[in-house]
Amino acid sequence: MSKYALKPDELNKEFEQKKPRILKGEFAGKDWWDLPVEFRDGNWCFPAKPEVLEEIGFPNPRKWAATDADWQLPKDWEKTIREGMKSRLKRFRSFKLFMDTCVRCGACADKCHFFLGTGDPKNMPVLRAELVRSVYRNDFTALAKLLKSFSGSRTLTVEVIKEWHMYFNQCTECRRCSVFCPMGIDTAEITMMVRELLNLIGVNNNWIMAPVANCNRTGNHLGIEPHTFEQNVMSLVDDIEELTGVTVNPTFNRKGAEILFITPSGDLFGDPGVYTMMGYLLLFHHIGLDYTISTYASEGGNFGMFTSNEMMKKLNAKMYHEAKRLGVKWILGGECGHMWRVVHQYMETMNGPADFLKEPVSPITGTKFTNAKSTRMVHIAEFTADLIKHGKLRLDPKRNDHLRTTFHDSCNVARGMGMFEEPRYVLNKVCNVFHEMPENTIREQTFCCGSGSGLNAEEFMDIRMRGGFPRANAVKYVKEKHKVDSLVTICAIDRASLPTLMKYWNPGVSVYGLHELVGNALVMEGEKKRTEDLRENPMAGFGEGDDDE
Amino acid sequence: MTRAWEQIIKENRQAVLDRWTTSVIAMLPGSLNHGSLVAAAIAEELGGLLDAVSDRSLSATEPIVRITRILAVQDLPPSKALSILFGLKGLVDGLPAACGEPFRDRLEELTLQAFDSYMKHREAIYQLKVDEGRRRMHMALRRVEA
Ligand code: SF4
Ligand code: SF4
Repeated sequence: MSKYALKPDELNKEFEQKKPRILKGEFAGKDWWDLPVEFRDGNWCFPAKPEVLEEIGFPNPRKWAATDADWQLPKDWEKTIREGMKSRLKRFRSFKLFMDTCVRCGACADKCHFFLGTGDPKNMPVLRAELVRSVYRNDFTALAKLLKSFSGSRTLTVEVIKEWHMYFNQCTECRRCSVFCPMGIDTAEITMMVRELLNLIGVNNNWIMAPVANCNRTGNHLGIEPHTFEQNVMSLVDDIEELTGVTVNPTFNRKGAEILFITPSGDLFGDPGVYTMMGYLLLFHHIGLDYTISTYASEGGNFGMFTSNEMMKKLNAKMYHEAKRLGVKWILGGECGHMWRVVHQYMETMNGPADFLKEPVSPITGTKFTNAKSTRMVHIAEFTADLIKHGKLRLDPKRNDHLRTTFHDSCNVARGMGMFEEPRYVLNKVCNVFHEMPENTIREQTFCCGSGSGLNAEEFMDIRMRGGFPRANAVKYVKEKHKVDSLVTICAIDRASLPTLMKYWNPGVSVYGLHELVGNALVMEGEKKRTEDLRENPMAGFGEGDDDE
Repeated sequence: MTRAWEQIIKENRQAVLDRWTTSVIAMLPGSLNHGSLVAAAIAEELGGLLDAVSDRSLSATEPIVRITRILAVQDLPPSKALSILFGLKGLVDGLPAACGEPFRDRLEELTLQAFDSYMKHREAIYQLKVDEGRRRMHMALRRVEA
């Protein structure tokens, strides 16, 4: 050892001085990790059913519950975790870096919505990461081996696994903490790694694994087969005709179409997602887009991202496969959060290069989407913003005068791909009343809905309500100050989970997809007098007795 | 004549409120929750509730609905969550013995109201689970119901 290196007790002293208060063991003489983990109704997600795991070949299928004393881990589970960790430290440099570089400055401590909404110190990002870093230090660093008394390292036990399961499932991989970290540590990536490790020994979540298995089998989260998929879209076509008098003509699996449109399947099955889908269909008809929808690449979302890199890659591959099979020029993607994280950050390296596709160019405006040059997939908010900017849409924003809106940035689109302005631009062109939530809760500082990364299970409701509290609180602010009653978002998980969050914390606030409002505002050629919005709610000032404008 | 308990609370509002807030927040798990948003929200709602405790002309309904909405989804057993009003009793200094009974009666009355409200929030949670499930299956249900 160098003569300049600090001696163990000096190092220890420095460590003690530098670490934030929380790491100093202010827990009645115990270490912070000795705080017990207790699984109770409402704070854990049901584990994957054995048949689900068998279907996708994931390890250790069995019946168990987080409240069981014995989790029936495989015999050599410690070895599996250690080797899994070793291989990931080698394969993913970010993981290794994030394990090594935290200076424990505490800047991230009060930035996580789970900490803010629960007050539980282990939900501070720095402590969350410390849950795994402490094991890493013990098993993988020379330092800990040299300094036996070095605080902050511990051995791997079943209790550690239980703690990981608890707290890496109270992280929605939203990355808010990373915005404030001077070292650029992204706790979301640490969570991804730990969830991968847990999956290796069969510690998992059915709400994630069942959609993965369904997606693997039929192409979408609900396991809907092609004919039902098509029927759903066609019944939305009927609804559009009834409301507007206009017949839109989507096509399915049509070879030679210019564009393949892929959106999260929630837009085809769930309320309020289906109204967003109606908005897309109206828009595409309005501009005469040459597009097709695939019944195989029938899911934009990718819950594989919450299980393992390999599964994420496999489920993502269908996008390019289908684009190639149909011979389209490029892909247009609907409103989704984590889908865009996968597309924007990983798709090209995982399953590309997609050199069989063209660099996306809007057939209506001629705009080249140079930012999508590598993935060849364009976000619908950019596409629509460009149409509006070029005056290609006939819009009547008064048709949304019955709504007083605010905008929720989806974490993955905002922080994951840096898109802040396009959805706001579109929203401001299709409605007249818009108010921002407080600055530290939007754009790159946006608060998660509390249910992201596959945590929107019903049995997890109490934690979801706590985790979503900071977002709800920001909505409450604009609700009270500006009478906002409509929360607009561009994410399918938000559309599924925010209505619940709003009903609990802010009754009277409804949740809308951006393109639902676009659909309301579009003045379609040959339409009949519109008096109701896509939800069949009356528009303000467009009643039967009101003047036509 | 002894002063009314309402008067004593009003005169010492801030001190009582601070003690009350600290004791309620201490019920939450972890030792650092003072810095969290949920702690701030609890503190805010307790202020409104304290005013309604000591002034019958103010409606207690809204403060009770708001504070129980927060408490109903915390990691606390209902018995603990609903003990907050009784907890107030020991926090008011210089309360003459004669005031004990009317003060306790008021707290009992409001605790029962809080119980109703807490239960409504718990029922809302179960209803939200059902509603969410239905929303997710919207198109399938539409077909079945058609
Ligand atoms: S990624 Fe989000 S949920 Fe996870 S620790 Fe950071 S702020 Fe919390
Ligand atoms: S902000 Fe970054 S360096 Fe500071 S404690 Fe958090 S993770 Fe560590």
